[in-house]
Amino acid sequence: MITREDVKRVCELSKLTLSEEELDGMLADMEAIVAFADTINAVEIDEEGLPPFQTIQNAFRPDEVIPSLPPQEILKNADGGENGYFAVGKTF
Amino acid sequence: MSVSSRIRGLHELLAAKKISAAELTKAYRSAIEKHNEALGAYVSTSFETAEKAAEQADKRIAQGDELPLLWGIPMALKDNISTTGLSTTCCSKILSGYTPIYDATLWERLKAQGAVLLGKTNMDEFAMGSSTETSCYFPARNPHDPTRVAGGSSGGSASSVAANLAAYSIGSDTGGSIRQPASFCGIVGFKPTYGRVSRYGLIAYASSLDQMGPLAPTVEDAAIIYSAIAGYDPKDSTSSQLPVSPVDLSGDIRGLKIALPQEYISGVGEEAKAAILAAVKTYESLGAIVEEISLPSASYSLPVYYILACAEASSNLARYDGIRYGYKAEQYTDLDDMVCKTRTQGFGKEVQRRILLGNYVLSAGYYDAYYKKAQNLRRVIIRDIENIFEKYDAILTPTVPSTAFELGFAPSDPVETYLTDICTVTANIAGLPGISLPCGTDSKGLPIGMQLMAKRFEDSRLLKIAHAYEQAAGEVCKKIDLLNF
Repeated sequence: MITREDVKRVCELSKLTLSEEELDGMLADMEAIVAFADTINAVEIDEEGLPPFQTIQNAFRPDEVIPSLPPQEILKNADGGENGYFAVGKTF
Repeated sequence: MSVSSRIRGLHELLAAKKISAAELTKAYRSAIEKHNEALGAYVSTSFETAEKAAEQADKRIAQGDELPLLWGIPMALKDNISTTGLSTTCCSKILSGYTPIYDATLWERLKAQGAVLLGKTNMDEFAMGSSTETSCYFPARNPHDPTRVAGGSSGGSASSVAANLAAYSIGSDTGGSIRQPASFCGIVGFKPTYGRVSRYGLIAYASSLDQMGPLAPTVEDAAIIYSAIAGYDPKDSTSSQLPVSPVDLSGDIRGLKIALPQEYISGVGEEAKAAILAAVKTYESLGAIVEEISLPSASYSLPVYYILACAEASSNLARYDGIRYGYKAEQYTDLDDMVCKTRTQGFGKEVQRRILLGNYVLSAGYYDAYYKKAQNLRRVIIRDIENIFEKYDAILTPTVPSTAFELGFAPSDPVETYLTDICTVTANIAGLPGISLPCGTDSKGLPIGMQLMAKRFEDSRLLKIAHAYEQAAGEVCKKIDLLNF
């Protein structure tokens, strides 16, 4: 059973700020979704013949240096950045 | 009436110089300018670059070179596929103003084949939804009845192809987002095997489930596009190094064994059921053997899917912080407040819901009960599917339990909306290739789709099986063509 406190906590973890009213709506939605997710708890797992977790092999490329994206281009989406860095406002 | 490839038809017109790529592009442009407001298929267009690309394509055509089938043909990409210099927003406010500085590998490959990009198509925000109503712009509408949804999340891609506002389009499919809108709009939607098409440049939703693929008028069109985009990419470590089997649609399917899981047949409406059973008869008339089977894991594949997809989404979407790209809140007190305000103002309600659910199932105290259990059940589903493919070549199901619903229908209970994906999520969970193709219409004339799935990396064979039905059945639903040339 998901509680209002649980939703508040995951809001903090998710960096989302919900008003008290929005929290009520979200709690109702999450109660329904979590009850739906809970249906898997009734399923017993028969381990026999289960495939491994990872059925797909990583396909690594050769360890060779290839050109990277130009920093000045990347920073265009961040208002140009400052001195070649991403910039954030004052934090202290 | 037989079903013929739109791409091949246009290719022949271009090669015979009966029309130029530039003229074709202009014709698509004017059709989009006239009809897009009513359909909401495109969220941005790139007509000027398209016209330049078409002129370049025409130069090669003029030389009389033998050119790829896709050469000079106008098409569309879903708005979550990165295109250098062209806005790519996932139809989310949080990516407003974002312009990629690199191309998705898929788009690089299509460009090399001479594809002409008309624009970016509408979608549910971050591909989270089944009706393209969570788009931050406007909903995409169904060309068969514009009061109804085009499906989702690749609703704009499906609508554009169904109305011929693009010759074909590319969508992405995490739990059915190519196949479900294809079914609603009466076209073909193909999700290749996980790892068969590079995901580099596809903005991530749930990385272990996401796959791009074609939405097209016919199976042959889907096969032509698939052949152009499939194959290993060093930029995507989950792309497969297995060679791509060439697609051969010719030959019969006599003796082929198709499994029909009862769990998916019993849950659909009467009209969809009748259409599926008629398709079974068609397959039998072609010499295939169709047998009813049971797939017990069908009952929990949907909660498993939502737990895993939301968990992966909560992690993938953590990158949107207002610092590196996209929307940034204007007023804030400190860094943490800026990040929180940016995310709260930038993400829509459905995306927020899925991020919260994802972080909930991953958080201490709940991880084992939800995320770990779902991961284990994913293995059970994969095992059950592998067992079926020991005896059968393909699995046949409806694509969606219903036909396209009216806009604004979205039930107040989100779980009810999630049920739309019941037949499609298995292919994503198990990484299988899955295709939806039209198999009839309901009493309102709305298209009904059926889904076929095959073993991993048997994409070519799956296309052949789908093609055999399509050719035998002929046109099963009304065709809409808004292109005028």
